[in-house]
Amino acid sequence: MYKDFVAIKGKRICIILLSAIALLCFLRVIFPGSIAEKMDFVAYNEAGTEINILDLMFVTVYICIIVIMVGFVDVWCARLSESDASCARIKNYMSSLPVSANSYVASKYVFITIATYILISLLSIAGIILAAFTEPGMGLDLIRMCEVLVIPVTSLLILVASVELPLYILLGREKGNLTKVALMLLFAFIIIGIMLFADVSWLSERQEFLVRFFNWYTKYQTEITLASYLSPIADLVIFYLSYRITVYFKARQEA
Amino acid sequence: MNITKKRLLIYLGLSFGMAWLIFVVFIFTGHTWSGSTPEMISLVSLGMLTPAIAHVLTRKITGEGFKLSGNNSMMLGIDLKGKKWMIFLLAIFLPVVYSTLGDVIIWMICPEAFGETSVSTFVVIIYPLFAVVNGVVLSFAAFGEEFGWRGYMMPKLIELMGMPKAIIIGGIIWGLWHAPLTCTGHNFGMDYPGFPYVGIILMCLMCIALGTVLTYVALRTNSVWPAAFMHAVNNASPSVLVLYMKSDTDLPLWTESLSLVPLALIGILCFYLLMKKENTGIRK
Repeated sequence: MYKDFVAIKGKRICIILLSAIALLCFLRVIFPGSIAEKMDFVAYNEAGTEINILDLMFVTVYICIIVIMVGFVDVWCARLSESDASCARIKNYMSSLPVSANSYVASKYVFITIATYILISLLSIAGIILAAFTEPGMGLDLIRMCEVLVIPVTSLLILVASVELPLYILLGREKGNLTKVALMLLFAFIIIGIMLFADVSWLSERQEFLVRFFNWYTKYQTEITLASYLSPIADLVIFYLSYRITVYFKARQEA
Repeated sequence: MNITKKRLLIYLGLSFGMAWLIFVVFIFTGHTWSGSTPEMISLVSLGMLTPAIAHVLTRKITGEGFKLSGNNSMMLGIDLKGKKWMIFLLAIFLPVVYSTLGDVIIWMICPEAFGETSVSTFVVIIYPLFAVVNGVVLSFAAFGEEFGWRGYMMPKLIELMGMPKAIIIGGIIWGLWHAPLTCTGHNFGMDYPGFPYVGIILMCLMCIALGTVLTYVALRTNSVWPAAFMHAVNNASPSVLVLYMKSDTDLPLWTESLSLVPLALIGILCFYLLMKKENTGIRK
């Protein structure tokens, strides 16, 4: 696993991720929601309710960081198996080790699990710090919602890896990349199909969509919270099945 | 001075210093455990990460190295061979058992503290699983403590004074580390005779009992992970009876203390197993 960490330049990526989160938290501590009025960062909606723009800015940045980091770590983890195939030295080194197919595949899967756990932990810590310096109101409600949704969103890494890892480990770098591109194209065609033939009027009312989403979340808060916290179980079951399938075919390949 | 003692003192100085700084700021800004917002409580709970930071800093200062697993390591490895996976599972689900039994004791002594629940039957059924998964997935704070206490302090204490003394002294140190929070009403509230000294003593006793179980699982697997998961699930209040407890009832301190009996019994069992293991080791 350490070899993988070095091969995908893990240290540099960890420093970037940690710095981004630390900067966000530092800025939140310097600019807490309570100073929004002094900074003239308060607005009122049609109903006359006070909206703390400063808090909303930090919530937006937090949501962006969650999405960017999940995407970033996903791309990073996708290089796990690529690195073995692309670098002849690593490939030779790996083949010289007394490692069974089981252990080799397991190391990749454990790496992804650890990366997901660390990412959930970091984003949760960031969420706690942001929430502590946010004034009660819409900003705080949104942060609370993000804290709940951060688990299923980050767990997507596990789901994506369940498809990606078998592709790269079993098919190799080139075929793996081809299959990945084919799957992404298929996904893109589905999206285009939906855009062309389905009712997407809600997209033109983005603001209303967000409000509707938030209202839906508030209405089913208990159920969504339960589903969010329990989603890693489903993800891990799929991840485990993917691992067993990969081990089975890898062992057959080697035989 | 013995080198191990020196290292331990550096660790304790850093761990207490950093955590108490956070706790003291919490106290001097006029916060109490029951009077603060959940967000502020979560923020101060990040103080649980300080033993982990202290562990890393101490290793850096003393030049002990950062070995991940094996002897004199940070105990970060995960080895599931030789039925060790059972210890992992046990560590995750044991808090559900002793917390529920503890609440059953409260229910037997003080049935008026319980009433109708506001959540659906489905939530009631799924709640223990929810608490377990919530605890394991969001175990970073508990990991922070266990990485310090079980990953660094306990091996050093055992080396210095042997198993039985280490368990008791380790528990007292751990309990005293929580003292500023106990003074703000953490765990036992503020409305009891002998506040806050009785609460601090009770916290030390609870830490000895829980610490024994956590030390057992950590030493048995040579990893801090099962201890971290167990600590996290323990903090997630996994007893389903919590959902039936009335929020406005003030339980007397002695009732709450009695709810710790199941944990104490498990602690005694683990203490016996630890001593048995140590004696077997000495004989070998």
